[in-house]
This record gives sequence, structure tokens and C-alpha cells, in this order.
Amino acid sequence: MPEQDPQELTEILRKWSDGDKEALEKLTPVVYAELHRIAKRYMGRERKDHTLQTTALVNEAYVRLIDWKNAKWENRAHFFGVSAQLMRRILVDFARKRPSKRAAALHKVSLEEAFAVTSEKDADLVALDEALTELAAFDERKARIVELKFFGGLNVEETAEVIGVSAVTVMREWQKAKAWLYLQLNKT
Amino acid sequence: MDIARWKKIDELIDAALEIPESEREAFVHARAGDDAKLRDEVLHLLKAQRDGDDFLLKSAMNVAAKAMAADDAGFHKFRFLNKKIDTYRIDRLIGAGGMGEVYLAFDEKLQRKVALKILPAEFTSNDERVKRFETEARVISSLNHPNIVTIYDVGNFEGVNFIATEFVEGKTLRDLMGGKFKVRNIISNSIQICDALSAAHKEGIIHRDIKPENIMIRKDGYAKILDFGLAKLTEVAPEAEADFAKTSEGVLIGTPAYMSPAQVSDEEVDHRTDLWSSGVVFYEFLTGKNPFKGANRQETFQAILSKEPPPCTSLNSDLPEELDEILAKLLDKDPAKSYQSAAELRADLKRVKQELDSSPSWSTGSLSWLALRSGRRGFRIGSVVAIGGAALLLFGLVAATYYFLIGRRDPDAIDWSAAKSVQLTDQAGTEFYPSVSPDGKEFAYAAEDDGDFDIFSQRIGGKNRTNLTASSKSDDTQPAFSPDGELIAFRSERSPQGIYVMGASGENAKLVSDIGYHPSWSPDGKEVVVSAFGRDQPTTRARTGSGRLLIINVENGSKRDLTNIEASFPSWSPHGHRIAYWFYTGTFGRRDIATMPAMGGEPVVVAKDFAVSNWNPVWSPDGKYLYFVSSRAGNMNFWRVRIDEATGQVLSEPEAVVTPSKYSRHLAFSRDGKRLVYVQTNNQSNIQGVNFDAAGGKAIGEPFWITQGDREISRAELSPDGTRFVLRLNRRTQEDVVTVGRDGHEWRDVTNDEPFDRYIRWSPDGKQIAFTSDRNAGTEVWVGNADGTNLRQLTFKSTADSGTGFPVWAPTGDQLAVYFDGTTFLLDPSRNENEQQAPTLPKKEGLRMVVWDWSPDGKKLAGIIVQGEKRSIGYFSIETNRYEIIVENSDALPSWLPDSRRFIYSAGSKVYLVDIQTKQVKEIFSNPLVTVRSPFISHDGTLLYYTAEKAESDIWLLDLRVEK
Repeated sequence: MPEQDPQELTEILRKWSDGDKEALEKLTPVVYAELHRIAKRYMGRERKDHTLQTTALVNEAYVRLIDWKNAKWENRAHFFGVSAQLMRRILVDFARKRPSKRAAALHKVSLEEAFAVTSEKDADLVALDEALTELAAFDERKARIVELKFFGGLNVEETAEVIGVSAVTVMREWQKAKAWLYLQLNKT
Repeated sequence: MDIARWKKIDELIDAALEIPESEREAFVHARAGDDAKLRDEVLHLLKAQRDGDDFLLKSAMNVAAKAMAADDAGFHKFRFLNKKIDTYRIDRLIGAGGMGEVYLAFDEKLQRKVALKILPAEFTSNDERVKRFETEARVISSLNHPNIVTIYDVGNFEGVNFIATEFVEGKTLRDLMGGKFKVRNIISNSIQICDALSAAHKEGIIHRDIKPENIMIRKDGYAKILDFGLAKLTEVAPEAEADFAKTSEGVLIGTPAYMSPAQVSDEEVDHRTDLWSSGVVFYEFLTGKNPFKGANRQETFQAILSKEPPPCTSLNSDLPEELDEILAKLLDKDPAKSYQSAAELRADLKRVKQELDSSPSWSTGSLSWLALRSGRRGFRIGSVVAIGGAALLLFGLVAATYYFLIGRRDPDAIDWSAAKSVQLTDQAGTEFYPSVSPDGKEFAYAAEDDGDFDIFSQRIGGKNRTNLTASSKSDDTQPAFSPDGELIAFRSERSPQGIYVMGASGENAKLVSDIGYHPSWSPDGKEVVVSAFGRDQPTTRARTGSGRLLIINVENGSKRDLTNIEASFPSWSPHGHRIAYWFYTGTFGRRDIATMPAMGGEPVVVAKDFAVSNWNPVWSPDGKYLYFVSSRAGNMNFWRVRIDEATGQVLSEPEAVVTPSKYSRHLAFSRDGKRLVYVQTNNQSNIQGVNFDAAGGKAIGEPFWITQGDREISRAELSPDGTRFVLRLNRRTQEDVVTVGRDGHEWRDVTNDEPFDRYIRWSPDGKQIAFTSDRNAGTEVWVGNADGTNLRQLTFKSTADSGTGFPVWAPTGDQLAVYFDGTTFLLDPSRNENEQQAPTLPKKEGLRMVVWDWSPDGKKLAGIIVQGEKRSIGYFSIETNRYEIIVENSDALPSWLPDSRRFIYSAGSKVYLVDIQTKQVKEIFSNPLVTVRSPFISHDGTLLYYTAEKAESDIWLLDLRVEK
């Protein structure tokens, strides 16, 4: 997969926020390429040593996809918002389309925890997406914070900038939103 | 959700978060007022914040990428999922690596979760290797230490080689790298790792591959080392490795970075290689940087052989300087200049920890999770070490550990890991309840002799023992040396029963109290404290309200009640201030310990763990520690907390005191505190069978095992169709109903939960079972389908002091006889309690009968007849309406033969048969190797079954008076 020009990506995002539905189709393969790049690291034989490296890789991927520093973008906050939304769409779609029930069972398994016996499980992206939509109905700010942070990969300060509140507020709202989502996803 | 409503909830959460966590619940209650729904929602969300601590820690991209990796890797990696390997049902994959895959599995035989490693095919293709692997793995599996993950089983199933180990829930140090944590916690865990290495090295076992992936931190902050000794056994063959290195240059770096210079130079390694590797791990964890790791293997090896790593304080200025010295010594290239043993390293780490504990700048503040998670740079409370920017996973550990840490560490704390371990008694059977003479030179204990328990004394270091109660034909147990060493108090079942005191060499035994168990002396030697109820084990049937404590004046026998609350097995503190005891917490099978003033007053609970049993508390002779037995590390072993003897305030987190045993109990100290004497127990009971000639009334041939192995089962009963046994399986903290096939295979759980389920009986049609259980407060009879469905409580009779008796089916299946408080009720098992007619067996003045078995012809109920002090085996005849005594002075439970004319019972290792017409008792079987319990004859009269118990308890010493 050839590297995508950041300028070009920015353009795609701008179009998408203007209502261009094709932008989604154009961006999806780019995101998938990034996913493959990270997934490969997870599967590599050296995986035991790479928790930090994969984290860095994910960060890099976000930067490559949404290079706001270099983007000549008049409204950074808006840009972040759009890109987080888009990432959410693409990643949830990906999760929804995963191969089979069996794979769905596997998805709870984390390869990164090689040799380790741990109880950690990753969030179910599809269920999370639904819960997030529900949350947005009565507390839009919390839902947006989750979208920006979790799907958009923004840190607390960046999220605070987009929303226009302090970092402390973002942290508190994030914690409360997480608690509510956690309850929703663990309802049986 | 209504927006206004949500706003209310949201605001209340904010307000609640402003105040300390311990007060939050009360606060929410107060603020919510009558609005119960609001209160509940807020409390739920607050709880979810704590529970969901790790939730959404990774970004969505990361989650998706991992899912993609799983999909791609999936199909061959997960081929074992939901399959059965030997007795293990595979539930899910929990890890994968060069050594194969690791699954969470359930051992259907022993009914427990295990981690099952399946070795890679390239390893299993070599028969010779596999054989060697199995032999050596068995040696390793003898390692039993709370900081080492236990190997349960090694085997081969249809060509698949596997290892089953203890399943530990937690995270590896690798997972935790990059988090924030306190230096003290790292040191604490490192000390535990030293303990584990020390124990293994003593056995000549070297790990060879200590690295962050092989060290787990449990949720409660406890460290466990994985894969002990397996590195060597599973190393890839040299050719294969060479190939591997060629094809993927530089990718092996993870493990080489922890290799010792000796390993890198391919010299012979000894135990010091583990110390080196743990030094690298320790350095990396403290600084966030591996000291030797290079861009490729070559660079890494070069660095290990020649590079002097920078002092850790230069990378993290928050670290105490003493650690620089320790790490420099630990990572000295010359093994002769480095630490020579794990114990030596441990001593140095311990010193640093004590300094940290006592220095105010390192004291603990309350760690707000919000603050910890804020991710703001430079934000510190107390001395949180910040490393990297990744996820903060250690939070739970920090909170759990610091909840306990209140005061300073005692620099004089005794370090039992340095003690010499000596076995003091080695007779077959049970030796227990040791008490050490104040001078520490001899010990008294109880052991079986000539059919009853007597009290013996023996010199520490000597082999000859003296029976101090040889003249007593009843059980004498629980000896306790008086503080001056002149007297021994003990419990005796002789008539009259009670607490006796005798001279230390067995003379002049005299009764001082007709009530009491487990005497413990006051320091002035004038009184003993005893419990009214003789509860020896945490699994002893729970009877709330009956375990009060009394204080007895030894000279004149006068008694006073100390407390009427539930309490067992008291221990008087050495300066007389307080009495420690253990109690039934009200949660099934759980026990906890508390102390109360010796003059009476409010108890202070010591541990408050909800998932484990803590029991058998004993004060250290200086009064600074309370030692106790606890199942907190998955086995029964000793722990201690620092405690204020005057107030009972607990001053430290519980700390393991290591013994080489799966089940340790009954500890006692010498006055100087340098000798700790205790009991190691290994009880097993399994089903045995032997052919039986019903006509001749005798067993034929040799007995054979139906089940075998390290487990304890009780009262097996064969199903009416003869295909399965139902039995009680005694698990560590629960007792369950389990069935197993007649051939000892195919174990199935009927119940698997915390309540104690006992005395399980098949209904005559084999479709139902009845048993007693404390699953709904009180011990009552329950009935249900044989697979455990449809359980229903049949009796509601038990009171604080008396539980319901055994359920006994009528051969017609329409009645269930149950003894309760002097009367036997005949209940209809198909009806509920309030619909029962409940006729009773006729009452007879001065006689009670505890029924146990209904004869196959339906005419007689056999059981134990109690007349005053006297117990006999007998039966009630429905035809004649009379009670008949058959065997006097026995309280064995009888089981009818198919002819309804004879029954059998056991005593010791023998089985007896008696004909109720002639009343003649005849020994029909004996297995001197075991204790024979609950014998019965199969329905067709051809087999005799029983549970064969091997009780083995020996007394051991941890000795600090001699140099190791």
C-alpha cells in the first residue's frame, strides 16, 4: 500500500465533513492499511517485547492519518471532530464485518499478552458504538469526549481543546462516561 | 434516560467524588434521601468507575488492530478451543509464544481452573526429549511456594504434550511496564521474587529465564513466578535455533536482554544466573529502560559482557541511592563479586524497604485515582514514580496494598526465610497441636497411640517421645505449656470431659473445667482462655452463636465468660492485653480473625478478606505480630501482620511466612521467638472397593482403588442403577456434591459453590438427591434433581445450636427421615415445608436415635442410639414399634445389607458385620494402610465399597537458632 499524502487525506476529510459520502470509501483502505501494519507487529515472533512499540505504532498511525500539525486547517477543533467521527465509522464497520462467530469469540483474546495469564478483555467495538449513540441522546458532551479520545486517538489536552473545556473537566467527564458505558456493556 | 434526571445523577457523582471513598456511600445515601433509584444509579456508576478501571484504556485503533491480528492468526492457533485434552476442558486462549499456547482450562477431574500450556509440535516430535521433559517437570512440580506458580500435571494426550499449572489472575510485569507505581511496591515484589528463587535454588532448581513475561502480579499485588525450570526443558534444539536466527535476524531480542554473562558466553550456569536476570528486570522496572538491550542480538550480547549500566538514580532521580549499590552488585560481571544467594539480595532489599517505610518523605498518601490517571506531567502525590506515558495499569495494586500500609516497618522483624527447616515427627498418621516449652528445647503434641490420641513430649532434635497420657483410653489433645513451662493444659475426652492441667511430664492430671477447647495461657500462668466449641478446621460445620470464649482460673476452676460472640481457637497475647481468635464470617466457608481486650470489649477484625479463610491466629512472643493460617495465596500457609498488642490495630499488610507445605496449621513459638513449630498436613481420601461374598458375609481378595490422587472425598454412595457414585468433594474452601462413574472416571459437578454440602444420598429411583447444606443460613436438608437442578430447601428447622440431621430415604422414595433435636421426622420429599404432615418416629424417654440408613425391606431404620452419655448402634423397627440396641459403645454409622437382616460399619481400618438377630459382630475386612470410612455393600451384594483415608500430619520446625 503506497503512503498516502497527508495533504490529500486532509482534503478527503474536508470533503467528508462537507457531506461527500465517497470520502469514507476513499479513507477506509488507508485506515485498513494502518491496521494491517499494526496487526503485523502483534503477530510477529518478537511480540513479547512490543507492548510499547505497538502503542507507539498506533500513535504514529493516528498522526499519519490525521496530521493536524501540518494541515492548513482553519478550524482545528472541527477537524478533530470530523476525523474522530470518521475513525469511529470505519473501525466499527470493520468490527461488524469480522469473519465469523468463531472469530468473534477469538477477538476477546489478546495476542499481545503472550505467555501472560490475564483477565483483560478489549472492548467490543460494535456494542460500544451502540451504547455511545445512546449516551449521546442525553449527554452529548460525554459521548463526544469518548469519540475523540477513544476513536479519534486524541489525548486529554487535545480533547479539551476541541470541546473547549479544561483538561480536568475532560478527565472527569471521561471517567463518568466510561463508567456508564462499562455498565451498559456489562449488562447481561 | 431523561436529561434532567441524568443531570441530577451526574452532579451527585461529582459531589461524591470530592469526598473520601470510605464516606461516599453514606454521603450518597444522605444526599439521595428518599430517591432510592437515584441512590442506586449513583452507587452503581461509582462502582463501575472502580471496576472498569482498565476499560477503554487502549484506543479503538489498537483494539481493531489486535482483532485483525487475532483473525489472521486465528485458525491454526485456536484449534484446541472448546476441546478436551485429557481431563481438561479448554475454555479460552490466554497467551501464545515460542513455548506454545496457553489456555484457560477447567480440570474436570479435580474441578478447578488451570492454565494449560500446550507445547509446540517441533518440541514434541522428539520422543527422548519429551521423556526427559516429563521426568524433569515432575521434579519441578515438587516446588511448592506461594510466589511460584504451581505445576499440577504434565502429560501427553493423543500426541499433544501439555503442562497444567495453577491459574493466576493478574498481569505480567511486561504488561505493567510503563505504568506508575511506588518504589516500595516494586521492592516488595522483588523481595517476594527473592523468596521464590531462594526456595527453588535450595531444591537445586534454576529458572534460567527470568524476565518480565515470567513474573505475574496478582490483583492483590502478590508476585508469582511462571514457568520455573521450563526454559531448559523446552529450549529449541540448536539447529532449529540457528535456522531461526538466520531467517529472522534480530527478532529474538526480547529474551537475550535478560541473559547473564555466563549464558551469553555459553558457560555452565548456576543459580546466580537467576539473580542476574532478576537484576535486569528490577533495573528495567525502576528506570523504564533495559540496561543492556541493543538494536540487535549482537549489540545486546556485547553490552551484557562489557557495558556498565548507568546508576538507576541517574535515570530516575526519585529512587533511593541504596538501590544503585544493590543493582551495581547484582549486575557485576564477575559472579564472585555479585550476590551469592537470593537470601543475601533479599536482606539488602529488605533494608531499603525498611528505610523507605520509616522515612516520612516516602510515607504514603492517599492516591486519588483521578489524579493518577490525569496524565499531567510532573503530577505526583507522595512519591509516585512516573515511567513512560503508557497505560497506568498498576493502580489496583497500589490501592490494594496501600489500604493496609499504615505504620512503619519493624526493623527487628524475624525473617523466617533464613530459618533451617527440620521435620520433628515422622510417624504414620496424625501428629498435631504442638506446643513449645518456653526454653524452646522440647515440644508437646497430640498423636494417635493404641487407638486414641495421647499427648507426647519430645526433645527438639531428639527422636524418642514420651507418652504423657498413656493411662487415658480417651482422646487427649491440644496441649499448651504454661508460661513457666511447669504445667501443660489440654483437652480430654475422658470422663468427665473438659480442660485438664497436668505437670509437664504427665503427672497429676486434674480437671479444671468441664467445658472448653484449645486452651491458651494468660502470661501470669493463672488462667487459660478456651473456646466453648471445638472447631478445629475452617471447614468445620458452621454453627453460629456456639463458639463463645471463657476464661478459667486454673487453681480454683472458676469460670467467667469473656464473650458470647462467635469465636474459636483463642490465643492470649504475651503481655496479657488481648485475645486473638477466629470466627465464622457469615459467608459460606469463610473465616476471619479478630482480637479483643482480655478484659472483654469490642473486637477488632484483623484481615477482612472476603474471598479467603484466615484462621488459627497466634501471637509472636514479643507481641508485635499476629501470625495466622490463610488460604490467601491459594494454599493454606502462614501469614503475619504487624499489630499493636494493646489496641489490636493492624499496622501492616499481611505478609507470607513461607513453609514448604501445601497445608500448614497449628503454629507455636519458643519464648525467644526463634523457633517456630507447626504442622504440615496432607490428607487424602479416595474410594476403594473389594469383592464381597454376601452369603458368607466376607470380603474376598485384595481391595482396589476406584479413584486415586490428591483429593479428599467423603461418604460416597452408589446410585441405585450401580453406574455412578455421588460423594462430597472437600475442596479447599467449599464442599460440594460431585458424581463420578463406577470406574472412577467422568467426574461431574452437581454443585460447585461456596456453601458446604454434605451427606448426599440418592433417591431410590436415582433421579433425585438429598443432602444437607448451609446454602440458605443454617444447616438444612435440600432435595433436587441428581444433576443439581431444581434444588429446594426441605427443612427450616435448624437453630443456632443444632442443625438438621442426615436425610434418609425410605426405599419407596416417598419419605425422607430427618432427625432434628431429639425427634425423627418423616417428611414427604415432594412437598414444601409448610405442606408437610411430618409424622415422627415414636419418642422414648431417655433415648434419642440419629437415623442413618433405612433397610431395603422398608421395615427398619438403623442409626445411632444415644442414651445419656452412652452411644450404641441400633435400629427402630416399624413392625414392632421398638428401638433395638445392637452394638453397644459405638457411634459408627451402620449400612444395611440387601437382606435387611445384617448391617456393616467401620472402625479404624476395619469393617464389621453384624446380624441383628444374633447380635454377633464379625470382622469382615481390614486394610491397615488406611482408615476405612462409610462402608456399604452394592445393591446386588457383590461389592464392598468405602472411602479410604490417609491422614498424614507431621510436626515441623523452622529454626533460627542455628545458622543455615
